[in-house]
Amino acid sequence: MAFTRRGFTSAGLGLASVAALGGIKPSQAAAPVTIGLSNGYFGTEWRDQMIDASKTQFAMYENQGLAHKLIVQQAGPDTAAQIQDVRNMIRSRVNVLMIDANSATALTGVIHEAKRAGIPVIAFDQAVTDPYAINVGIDEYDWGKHYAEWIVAQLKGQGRVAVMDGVPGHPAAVARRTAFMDVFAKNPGIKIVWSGYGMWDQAKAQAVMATVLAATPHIDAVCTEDGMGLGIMRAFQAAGRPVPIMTGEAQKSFLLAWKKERDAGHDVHLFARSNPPEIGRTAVGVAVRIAAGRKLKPLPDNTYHYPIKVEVTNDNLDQLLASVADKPDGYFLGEYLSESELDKLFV
Amino acid sequence: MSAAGGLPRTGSALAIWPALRRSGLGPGLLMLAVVTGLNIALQPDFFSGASLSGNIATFAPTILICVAQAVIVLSRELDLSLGAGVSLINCVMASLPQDKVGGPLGVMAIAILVAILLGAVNGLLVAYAGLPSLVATFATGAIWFGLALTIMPQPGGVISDAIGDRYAGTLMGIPVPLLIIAVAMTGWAILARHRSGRRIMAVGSNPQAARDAGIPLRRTKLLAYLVAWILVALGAIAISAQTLSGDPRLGTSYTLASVAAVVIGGISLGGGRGTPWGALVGALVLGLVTNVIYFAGIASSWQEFVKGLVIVAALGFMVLEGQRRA
Repeated sequence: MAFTRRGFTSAGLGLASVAALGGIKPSQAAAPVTIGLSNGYFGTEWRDQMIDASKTQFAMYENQGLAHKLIVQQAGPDTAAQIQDVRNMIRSRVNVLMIDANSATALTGVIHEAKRAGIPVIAFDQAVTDPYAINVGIDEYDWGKHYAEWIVAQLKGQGRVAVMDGVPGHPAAVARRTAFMDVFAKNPGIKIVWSGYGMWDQAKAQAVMATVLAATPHIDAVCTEDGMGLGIMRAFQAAGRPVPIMTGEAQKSFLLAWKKERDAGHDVHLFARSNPPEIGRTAVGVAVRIAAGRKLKPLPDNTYHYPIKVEVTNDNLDQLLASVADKPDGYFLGEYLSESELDKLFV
Repeated sequence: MSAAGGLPRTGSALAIWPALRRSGLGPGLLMLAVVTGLNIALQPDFFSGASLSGNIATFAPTILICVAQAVIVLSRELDLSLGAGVSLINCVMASLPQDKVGGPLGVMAIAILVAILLGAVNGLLVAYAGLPSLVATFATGAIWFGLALTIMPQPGGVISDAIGDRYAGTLMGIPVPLLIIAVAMTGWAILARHRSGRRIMAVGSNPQAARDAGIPLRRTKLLAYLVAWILVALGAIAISAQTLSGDPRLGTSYTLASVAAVVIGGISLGGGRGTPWGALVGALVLGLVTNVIYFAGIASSWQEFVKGLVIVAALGFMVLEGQRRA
């Protein structure tokens, strides 16, 4: 898909040549850059860390004189409220919009308004369908595929698997679930004994799994994604059953429970892949460069998929835990693009 | 009883005050003046065309849904299914094959029909089956939400750009959202002068007396629900024209917002006292509070806090007013 971005590319072309040599460096005459960040759901550890990470990245650019102001608005689950937030940002003439949307489609109208106002839009974390927006996030399908493939490898293609998903209808949950089912369908030895939803909530996941365990005597592995692994592990422990082969979240609390289980001498087979809230940092990096007039290299479907590096296994568990020793238990393993990696995305 | 009895009459300029107090609109208008003033102070281009039309486009769905709630509250009932109803109407609109149902007009006609159906169910359950509206509409709200999720398990679908463009445009130089609100309020004004509208008020203020006067209680309450849900349809169309897609959770927040706007607008939750204009004022206050918080640079986490304060203040005014009347 061709990269057709109007409005800001032409305005920034002159600056881009200046910027090409040394990092972002817009000309000193450039107007101070204001970023409007509109977030949907908030009050979860992941989203809080995402906002903090975005602010950290922004502060770095602010110190370098590359950005002037970061406006953060969090609408909660209310789409109408997020529309109002984005409208206010357009009206206060931010230079670039960053949106973590509640839905892939509901902001289409207001993204059109941003387009008319000539304000570039970066949809991060949650991808949106409108082609004007640049998506920055992880490849949810690929992410889910890694989880399911790890399960299949651990089971050597044979076993009874329970699958727990996040929120029904949420695009990320749907993509991951589809990936799980695609992988399992290719392995006839894998039998799915139960599948359902834990709402990305540890307590809910634990309660659901407790019910499942009572009804399902034989489970070899649990394939779950993000934010429910700890609850599932606790359900097994509470039922007096050994923790099965299972996936979980790259969150400190889960990793601590994992270590405890292993240190107690149990044979643990666990896996987690990072889904970094620091995607906010990467997105701020992209936003500041676009606001400075730099031009992205063409992206397929206008979407940049952040390449995840961190996978947690028994081998690197201790090392990764040590690296987040000073962080709270709710902390997710973070990773983001460096300045030079960010520069490589641009012409 | 004289609402104006305790007021010193210091001049004819204050003559409007007793009328305001009777309508219960006073505190709401005062709050509206304050938040509008703050918004103007914080946002220099508040009166620019783009800003005003953007605000109206943003507030219109809330206003229409809040006025709908007001009509039901005036009949001494409540509807906790409005938000879920908005979601359901939105999902129906987004899942229709837009071209095969007569284009935008067909889609909107179906939206209104669905709304009337939902309003009829609520009205029949409350007025004819005699179920308490608080519980009955809470339950039907869960049903609407379930239906919305069935039609559209995840956000998606398409609502034609034509609806969006028309909504964002003007007709005879007037922004379309403003026209929709004007039509809705004029409709209510006409109804209120008509026997049916007066009956809604009478049933709400004193059901026993209304019954004694020979007013058909059940039919009147059903009418209130039907009128309200036509307004809900307009609100659902207005928000759908902005999201241009379906979302089974789209309307969730409107239920509580509508009750809050009714309270801010000085409409007695006991029915019979107040005017739908109050709900319009309440909806504007809620919307402008959000803007004030944005332009003042206050963290958005304070939004709910401040809105809560506004609602508590409105309730406080109401209680004071009640005591003064007693």
